[in-house]
This record gives sequence, structure tokens and C-alpha cells, in this order.
Amino acid sequence: MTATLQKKICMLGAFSVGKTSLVRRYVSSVFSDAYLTTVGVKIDKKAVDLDGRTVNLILWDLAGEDDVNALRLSYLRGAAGYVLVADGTRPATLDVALSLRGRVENDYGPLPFVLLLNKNDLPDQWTITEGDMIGLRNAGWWVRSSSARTGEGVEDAFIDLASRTLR
Amino acid sequence: MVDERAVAWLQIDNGLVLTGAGGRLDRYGLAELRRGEPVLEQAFFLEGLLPLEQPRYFVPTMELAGGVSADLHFYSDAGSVWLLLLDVTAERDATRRIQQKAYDMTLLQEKEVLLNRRLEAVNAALRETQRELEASRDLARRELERKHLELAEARTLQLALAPPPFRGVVGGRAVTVDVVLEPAKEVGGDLVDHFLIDDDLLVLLLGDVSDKGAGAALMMARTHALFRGIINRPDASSLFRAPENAARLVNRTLSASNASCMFVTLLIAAFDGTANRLTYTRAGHVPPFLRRFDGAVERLGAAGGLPLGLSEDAVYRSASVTLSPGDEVLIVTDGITEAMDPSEAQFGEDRVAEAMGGDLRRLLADVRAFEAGGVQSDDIAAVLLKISHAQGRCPAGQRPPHGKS
Ligand SMILES: Nc1nc2c(ncn2[C@@H]2O[C@H](COP(=O)(O)OP(=O)(O)OP(=O)(O)O)[C@@H](O)[C@H]2O)c(=O)[nH]1
Ligand SMILES: [Mg+2]
Repeated sequence: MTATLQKKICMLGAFSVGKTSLVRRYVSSVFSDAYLTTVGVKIDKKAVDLDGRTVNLILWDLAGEDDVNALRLSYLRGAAGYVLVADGTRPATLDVALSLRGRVENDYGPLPFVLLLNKNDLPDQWTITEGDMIGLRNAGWWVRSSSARTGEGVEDAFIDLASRTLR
Repeated sequence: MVDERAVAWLQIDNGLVLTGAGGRLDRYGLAELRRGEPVLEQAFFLEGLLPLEQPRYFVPTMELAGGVSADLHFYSDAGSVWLLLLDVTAERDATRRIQQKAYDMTLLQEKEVLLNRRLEAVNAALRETQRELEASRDLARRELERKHLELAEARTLQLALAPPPFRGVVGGRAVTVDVVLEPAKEVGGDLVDHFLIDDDLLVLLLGDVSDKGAGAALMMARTHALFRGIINRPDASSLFRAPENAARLVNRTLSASNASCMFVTLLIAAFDGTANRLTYTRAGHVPPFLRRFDGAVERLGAAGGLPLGLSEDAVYRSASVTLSPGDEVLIVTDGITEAMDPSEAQFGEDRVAEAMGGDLRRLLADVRAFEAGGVQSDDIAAVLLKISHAQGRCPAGQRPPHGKS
């Protein structure tokens, strides 16, 4: 009996950028406008089919970071990759995401990650320019805008990240 | 106390096989654990945490199935790892209440800052627009003032073109000529003139351009200049004695180069003081009024033709009447006959006829009273010729104002 392949994936980002909502969209295909902040970490599982192989993604939906609650980097132990999330309507959350990535890399070395600029269903509040995105991509990053509300860009991000954790 | 914490434990060997478990496993959704089998597939939240790298490891506040949160304490001991789970759901909820308030507040503040920034931007744009508006309004106002000034100058010039009254002798016959000229706008399209030819021929001109305003004023000035030009020709006498000839000449010039398609209705009349005859040509103009010395009013409706400026080939004729002492000839533009009262009724030709026998001031006063303070809608012009009873000589200073002597 071959054991099922499992990969630990962490959701990282400032508070209220939509980490929990993205996981719920991906795992249960639902979305809610209500905001219930995450304390600690919430674990979910999603089985994906990659090249004919089933992989269990163990999703660690971490509490968001703010000035007071710094991320406990110990949560990332054993992670195969992570999803950095920023809120495209709140420019400061992109700075938080960039800073988180630096700290993770410091402690755990280069891990596969994707950057999602979430809430792209709110175009009139959007503050990230196409130029910002191009700049990040030129740095070799996998960057997409997404929406937990509509589902746009969500599955792509997880699949891409999962397949990179297998390499 | 211990039960509130709902302690549960797992024992895992170096091969990551579950070797033992106990306590309140059900609280954490772990009631179905199978001992002797790999632990990671049964407790997938352990993925990545095992094998342990330190003797102790702590993962706080992990939410598992059923919304229960646990603190995870790992200890390594003699070839196996012990995992202790303690329920911290209540603490988590307490923390969440505080954290939620703090985040909601921060989000509100962020929103406020953003809104203020947007408001500021909108305000700045508004102020800029307002500045631009004011600038263009100033410009427009200055432009308008300049236009008004120019028009006022033009009006002064045009009114200066209207001749003064005439009291004098024409071919031994004492006559008086009075005129009015009142443009509806700053400048108008009516034309009034009179002048003597050869001492015995008095020429009266009254024209009305088919439009109002500056364009009409130019057309009027042009027509006027053409008639004035004829005075200096050697054949001026014959052209004015048979006024259809003067009309034909001017019409030809106007029609040949009339891009704006304006036209002029014109009454030209020549009074021969020796023969006591008035010869006139009507180029589309209202028939003049003739009031006989006995008070009977006739209309001079013969000798009609096209207004000037419409067709180079237009044919003009003239007609004559004999005038006696005490007769009056009044030539008007339709600005008088068609003056309107507030109910849009017209002043009409009968009222003009009734107003005769006095002077032009009385006629004008009647028209103004009829309009009852309303707006003058058309240019007003009139010429009044009166034949005196007196067999006149020409008193000093009463020479005719214009024309060749
Ligand atoms: N319009 C829109 N709203 C979203 C989207 N994703 C999340 N939200 C809303 O954003 C708020 C925060 O979403 P969460 O998913 O709880 O954010 P989080 O990153 O998990 O927040 P923390 O757990 O506090 O760090 C909620 O009100 C969501 O409804 C999105 O794609 N579009
Ligand atoms: Mg969350």
C-alpha cells in the first residue's frame, strides 16, 4: 500500500485580506461577506489530482498579521509551500505580504509560493497598478489577482503551487 | 478542570506509526484512530510536524474538525513521540472577540482615511474646475463688453447716417422733410435718406433690409453707399427723375454679389417742385401714405417690383402723383405697420393713416403706446414730406443737407 502524498500549504498575509475566504472558496465552493477573524490556525484538507496522482493538500489557514500580532513562524514548520495573500483594495497589505515572505525565507529558505492580490471583484476600489504586477512578475514571482467572491484565480493558484511542491 | 481541558494523547513511533492513544479523543474528531497504522493519514494535521526535530515542540490554538481548537504539545521520549492535546476553544473565542474588535476598528479607520483622501482629491478637482470656469466666464464677460462697445459705436455711426430734417424750397415749392430711424437692436437694417438734385428735385429714400443686426446693418450701409454714389454721376438727374433707373442700377450691383442672400425693400421717391409731381418706385416696399390737404388718405400702391438684391434681371417701373399745398407723403417701414401690442395684434395701416396730419413724433408716440412697454421687435424708420402752402424762397441756412447743387 503506497501512502497518499500529503503537502502542507500555509496561507499567509495581513488580516482581513481573504485567506480564510480563499480556503473556503477552494475547499467548499462557498463565500460569505461576514468577517470572522482567525485565531491561531485552522486546518483543512483538499485532495487534488496532479498528473493522475492524488495529493492531499493540508491547508494551514493562519491568523492574519497586524502591528500587534506578529506571525508565529513556528506554524510554517514542515510546509511544502505557501500562499501569500494581499488585498488589492488596501495597498498596505502588499507591503505586509512582501515582509512576510522575507521572514519566511530567512527561517525556512526558499519555498514555493504564489502571491494573490485578492478582492479583484472590487475594481473601483482597486489600488494595485498593472505596473506593480509586472514588476513583481519580473522578479520571477507567480502573481495573480483573485476573488474569493467570484472564485476567479483561486483554483489556478492552488494547483500551480501544489504542482511546484512536487518538483 | 481537567475535563474542561479535555486532555487527549497520542503515542507515535519513529516510523510514524500510531502506537497508542487515549483521553478525550472524541473531542478532537479522533475517535476512530487505528493503532498500528501510519498516523499522518489518520491525523493529517500532523503533516510536516513529524518527525520531531527537538525534544519538545508546541503548536498553539489549532482549529480541528468541529470548530474545536487545541494546543498541541509534543514530547520526544525513548524512541517515540508523545502528543498532548488540550482544548483551548474558550480562550480562542475570548481572544477572537478582542481581535475582531481591534481589526474591525482598524478597517474602519483605514476606510475613513481612504475616503478622506478621495474626498480631498474630488475637492481639489472641483476647485480646479471652478477656477477654470471663473476664468472662462471672465473671458466671456470681457468679450461681451467689447462686443457691446463695438455695437454701441456702430449704432452711433449708423444713426449719424440718418439725415437731419429739411426745411427749404424745391423748385420754388416750400417743403419740409422729417425722418425717424430707430434700430430694434444696437444696429439695424433700415435706411433713410433725402437729398436735392438740381435744386428742383428732392429725392427720398427709405429701405428695409430683410434681417436685423450687424449683417443687416452692413447690407444697409452698402445699399446706401450705392445710391449716394449715383449722385455724383453726370446722369444723376435722369437716373433720379425716373427713379426706376436708379433702383435698377443699385439692384444689379446688389444682386451680382449677394452671398448672404439678404434683400432690401426700398421706396425711392423724387419730388419735382416745379411740376409738383412725385414720382416713385416701390421695390417690394409697403405703399406710402398720401394725405391730401383735405384729410383724405390714399395709398401709393402702384409701381411695384421685386426687393433689391434678389435678381439682377428684376424690372422696375415708376408711377407719379401730383401734389398740392397741404399734402403730406409718409413713407414707413413695416416696423411701424407691424409693431405689436402684448397680445400680438399689429399696429396696422389704419392707425398709421389716423396718426397723419401731425408730426413724426406723434406717430412714434402712438406706436410706443400701442406696444405698451413691450419689446420693439423690428427696426423702425419713416420719412414724412409736407408740401407747404407758402410759395417759398430759400431762406439762409436752409439749404438742403446733401446732394449736388
Ligand atoms: N469583495 C470581496 N470580499 C472578500 C474577498 N475575500 C474576502 N473578502 C471579505 O473580506 C473580509 C475578510 O475575509 P477573511 O477571509 O476572513 O480574511 P482573512 O485574511 O482570513 O482575515 P484574518 O483571518 O483576520 O486574517 C470578509 O468580510 C470577506 O467577506 C473577495 O475576494 N472579494
Ligand atoms: Mg482568516
